[in-house]
Amino acid sequence: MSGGTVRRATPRESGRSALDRKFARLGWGFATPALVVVLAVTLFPIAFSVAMSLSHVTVSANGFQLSGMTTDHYSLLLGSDRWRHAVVFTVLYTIGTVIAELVLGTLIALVLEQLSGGRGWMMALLLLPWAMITVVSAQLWAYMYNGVYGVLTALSEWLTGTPFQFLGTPTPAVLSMAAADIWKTTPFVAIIVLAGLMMLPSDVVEAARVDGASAWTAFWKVRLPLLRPALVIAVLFRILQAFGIFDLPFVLTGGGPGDATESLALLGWHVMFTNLDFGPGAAVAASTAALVLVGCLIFLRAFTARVGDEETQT
Amino acid sequence: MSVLLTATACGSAGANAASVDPRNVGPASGDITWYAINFGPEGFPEQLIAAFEKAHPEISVDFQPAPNNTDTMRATLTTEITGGSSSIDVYNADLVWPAQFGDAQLAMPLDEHLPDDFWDRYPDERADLTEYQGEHLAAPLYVDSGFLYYREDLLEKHDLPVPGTWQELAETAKFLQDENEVDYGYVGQWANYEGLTVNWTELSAAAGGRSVAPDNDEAAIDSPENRRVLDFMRRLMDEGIVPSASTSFQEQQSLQTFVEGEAAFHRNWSHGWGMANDPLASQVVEKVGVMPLPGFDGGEEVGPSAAGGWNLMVNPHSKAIGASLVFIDWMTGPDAQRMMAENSVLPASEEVLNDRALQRENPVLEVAADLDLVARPAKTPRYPQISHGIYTNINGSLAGSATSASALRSAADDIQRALEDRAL
Repeated sequence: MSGGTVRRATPRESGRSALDRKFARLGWGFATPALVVVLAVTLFPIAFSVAMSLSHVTVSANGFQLSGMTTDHYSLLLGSDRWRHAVVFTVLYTIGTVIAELVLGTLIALVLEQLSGGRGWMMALLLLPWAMITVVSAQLWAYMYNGVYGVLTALSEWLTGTPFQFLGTPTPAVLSMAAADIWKTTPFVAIIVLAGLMMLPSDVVEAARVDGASAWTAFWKVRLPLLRPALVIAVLFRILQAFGIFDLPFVLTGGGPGDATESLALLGWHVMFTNLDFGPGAAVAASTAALVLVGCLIFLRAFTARVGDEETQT
Repeated sequence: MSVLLTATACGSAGANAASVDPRNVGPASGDITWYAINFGPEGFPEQLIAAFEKAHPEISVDFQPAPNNTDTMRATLTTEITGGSSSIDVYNADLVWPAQFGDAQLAMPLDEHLPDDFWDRYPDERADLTEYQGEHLAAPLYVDSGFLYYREDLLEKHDLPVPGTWQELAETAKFLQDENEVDYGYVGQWANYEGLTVNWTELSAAAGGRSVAPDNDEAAIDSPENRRVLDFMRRLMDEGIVPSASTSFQEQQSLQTFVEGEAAFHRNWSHGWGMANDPLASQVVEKVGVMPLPGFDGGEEVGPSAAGGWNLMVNPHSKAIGASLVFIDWMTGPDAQRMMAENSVLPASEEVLNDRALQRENPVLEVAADLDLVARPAKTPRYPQISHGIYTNINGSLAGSATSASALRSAADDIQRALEDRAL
């Protein structure tokens, strides 16, 4: 965030009274139990899982026993086609679905913004797919895609004469799964973008109009740059969720056909709970976390660089 | 415990009773929890419990239904038992679990607590499947096998014989499709999951192939016999005898297709019989015949069926092992096994399975008693990776992403890695 923005004095800089400090202490006192809980339920499992990925793990009725440091689990991953395939699939799937959701969500938000009445109803309807539990909606899609009695299969047969196999062959299976995901999560993007649109200062757009900008220019040059913060939030949330996709492949394809739709999360689950290999399973989980972290950092960096460009232009 | 042991059908408990220490296993009374996927007709596990509690009023059993998916159930059990929980005492365990569960100590070895002749109630090969490193880890509860269901009415109408080999099945199926009797010739379970390993094991064995060498140390899937089988499966799909949707078919989808009258032949477990003859669910009531799976040209006359079924295992953390053993003894004994046979669940007990009167009532029982069985290569804790190596490569090839030759090469590679503990 180079230059440009006005710095406001923070309370700390304006000096703190004894009362402020007392409230601050009280605040910490109230927050501590919650912090402890958060640390216990987030940091501990993460630390334990990283430790597990780096040690020899014995699973037995007495629980997990960790002994000795090893990087074997990671070399197992790196030497495994199955892991490499899951990484490529998960990365491409995330990029593809997030871009589609971003474009569709923004379009829907722009349409909703133009509505004068009934926006509340429209939003409630729109949110239905998103509010539905993923396993349930995945089950619903599984019925629609079913190769014999699925309604979409029947529709394709009616249109083309032969029933199309949505989940039976690799590429259609990936695209069908992505479609179910986009159907479910586009509303989330739309709502966030709509909220962003509502917060835009109307005078800026009016000024652009007065200056003779077309609706398209006004959107592309004025409103979209101002919408960036909302878009960034939507994209970050979606990257995090799409990267951890589990329910859809679990219900729709079981990772198949072959290994076409095996995501990293599904792979990790299989390694841990089907093979009972907790060390390598933890390594899959840790690799997933590392990759998604890198992905988010790259995205944020690219985004802030563009904000910089924008500011130097104006 | 002596109550349990004298109650066993095979008797001769006295000598062994001394090896059982009630201080170790606890009293043969109290409350136990039984964790299982629902099986048999609606409410059947509860009926078994009611009968058990009548016979053993000193023990009360709480039935805890498991999610209807073997993998999810295994995940839950692993979490519970490794976490040290004793909330489950006895659980139903898939036939292919003993080696893996034994290796991870998720099941209690039973030999110390059960008399030697306990295992006489089962056919030898069935009892063997519960052994890992010389110890029985599970007591077979019920068995299951692959059966071929076929449209008896259509064969009679066109005066056709039941097929003896898979090739004849394909021809008959094609004929019935061409006559517009059915949309599809054959449906099985060819989706990307354990069920495909089962279907594959049967077909491969019929042609004289296998996936792992007999002493479990080498992949054997890349063979001319198996090449022939996979080419045959792919041909069935290419010619439309098997629906192209088959690569996403599990038990339920294939059964659905068959009971709606859309397929001439269908491979499924024993419950296919009840479902096909259920007027509420089926369009083909009383039009269906059942037989062993066919052989392969040049191989045996009758093809082998995969051994399936469920065992009972004991949570090593159970606080009521004594009562759990009584429960296991009764559930695998004649009363409970007869109840199963009468409710279309195939009994594990040799005596009940061969009961002529019961066989007359349920033809599946009669076919089951004489089946030639083939086991999946599950005698190693690495079985899940081996099975994964089989089903993903076969499924991928059926879905058109690899030729038969390269699918089998890659399956052999995956299996070899699994056997050498180098597989993810």
